[in-house]
Amino acid sequence: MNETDLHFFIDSTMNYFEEITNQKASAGIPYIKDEAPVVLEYTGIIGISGKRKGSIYITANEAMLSEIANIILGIDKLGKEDIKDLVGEIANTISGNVRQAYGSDFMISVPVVVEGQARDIKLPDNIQSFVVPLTWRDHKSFLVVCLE
Amino acid sequence: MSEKIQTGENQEEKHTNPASSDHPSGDDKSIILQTVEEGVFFLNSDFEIEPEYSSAFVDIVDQEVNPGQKFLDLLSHRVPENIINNLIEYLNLLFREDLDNETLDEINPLSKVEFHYENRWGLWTSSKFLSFRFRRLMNQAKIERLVCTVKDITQTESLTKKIEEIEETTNKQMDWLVNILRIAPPLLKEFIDVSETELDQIDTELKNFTSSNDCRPLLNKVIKSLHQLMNNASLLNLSIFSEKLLNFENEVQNLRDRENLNGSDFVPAVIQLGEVRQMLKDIKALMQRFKHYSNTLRPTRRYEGGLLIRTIENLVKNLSRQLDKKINFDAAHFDHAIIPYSHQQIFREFLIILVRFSIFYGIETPDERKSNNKDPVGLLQIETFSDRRICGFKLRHDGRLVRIERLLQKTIDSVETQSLRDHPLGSSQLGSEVVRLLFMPSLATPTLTEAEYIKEIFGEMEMVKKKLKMHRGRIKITFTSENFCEYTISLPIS
Repeated sequence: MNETDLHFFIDSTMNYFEEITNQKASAGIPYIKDEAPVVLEYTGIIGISGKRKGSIYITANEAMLSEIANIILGIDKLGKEDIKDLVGEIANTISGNVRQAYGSDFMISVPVVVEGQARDIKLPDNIQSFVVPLTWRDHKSFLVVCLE
Repeated sequence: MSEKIQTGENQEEKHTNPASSDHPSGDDKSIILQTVEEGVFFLNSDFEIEPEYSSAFVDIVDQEVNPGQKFLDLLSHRVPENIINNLIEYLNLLFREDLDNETLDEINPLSKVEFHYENRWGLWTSSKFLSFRFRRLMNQAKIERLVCTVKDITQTESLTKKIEEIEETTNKQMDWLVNILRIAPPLLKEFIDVSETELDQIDTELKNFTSSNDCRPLLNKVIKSLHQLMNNASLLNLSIFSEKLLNFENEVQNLRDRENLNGSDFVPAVIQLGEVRQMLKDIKALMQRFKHYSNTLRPTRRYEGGLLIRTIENLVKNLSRQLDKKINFDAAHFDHAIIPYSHQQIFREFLIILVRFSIFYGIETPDERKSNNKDPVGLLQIETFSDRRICGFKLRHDGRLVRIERLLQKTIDSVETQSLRDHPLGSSQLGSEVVRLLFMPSLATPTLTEAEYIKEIFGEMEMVKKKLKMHRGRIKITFTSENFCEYTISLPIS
């Protein structure tokens, strides 16, 4: 993965937050993912294949997702399924935007959502993964990009 | 999963079929489809998969195949969308009688396609190259259906790809080999271990950084670590690695010079870090591959010793030029062969750091020396010594310790060393105090123009001190303020 790829994903994520919530998120310093798990309460994963291979995921806590859902849908109380849909949708939008830039050779899977603090999300072993810490309002979340 | 082989014909039909002697019966077809190594399946004019298909077909596509399933659905998410769009057009052409097979073969979008496999979550796991071929089955001059074959051509394809990759990496690996084969394996191993620890440190710093903090201390730490790594790489003459580290350091330095940094700004540096990590991994793998050869290919001790002397000579020459000093370097009594294998790296480090320190702060410029009635050309000597228990080296120069004295004075004046003022040092104690000062990085004074450099050297000294302690070694300094200074480093042999 090169600089441009990672920038694409970060910019796409930042744009998502700004467009959807009218409020900018800030990206922390990216780092190389080690064995330590990077998983919060809800995780939306997108598999990438085609000319580039790997996967990306965004992981966030319920509080943050509820606030975003509240902005989008105007609903205060959300069910688990709605929250799961939302995190899947965020992951889908981010990779969908990146796909527009890379063309149809860049294939993305349907989002997979993991609920609860899983031990870790399995990523391809032979590809370096980068973790981008995100802060939106006071909420922490992480974008993890693993791309060949 | 559906049954893999389904002929859809009953026994009676087969026996009464007049063509049964010329064409395979249902059972025969079933056996053929079970044993054939190629994936075989049939498509009707609606591009649906017919109930008869070979088991190899299911194995190759690695997913459930349902009779009547649209072929295009089977390919969805497995091959890129543009190929699927071309395929729709192509399948339509296959049902046109006016087009010949040869032409159709030429435009087959699936003649070689990368097929992607997913896990149960739909996430990519692996890819294979597949080759599909389509033939038309006629019935009364009309195309009734298509017989399709699919082969896994990954091995052929990956072989071609591998050859390209090997060609691409051979030069790189040759350079590495030239670099690493002349280095003693324990030294290289130590270098890799130290580098990995240092990179882990950088990773941890980046990971634990919170945006509310000022980035500069973090970046300074990273630069310091990188500098340390670069020095280590230079000691081993690992030029490829030090060049890579230099690029990385430049990226970090660019960041340090910028205002209002955000996480995105760190991307180039983090990518460089990833590349350095990958390079270490590759060197490690290469080292593993050549583990058995390294002992025989390793240069002689004499050659290694010569290499070290040349490194020091170059260092003396370059620094002298840089600082307008004139220095004679004498290594006539330095015998590299007496240094045990396990101590070589630490001896190299000590030598280089002390040489740099002596040239920077000890040996004066020709004018300064002349005004002190000294030979304008300074002298720097190194020699080794050993007995049954210890081995070591001495580094002696005929310069002054003017800066050390200054630093010592500053220390005595500082609050931190209040106790020193309260208990003035006797001349015999001065040597050990200088040693202590050499290894205290925090003593660098920001008012000096070379403050950063001092800090760096002192940082190196601090690390060497730790290593010395680790190896149960000792350092002793003897000097007179005007005439000479001699550092003696000794380490136990066992």
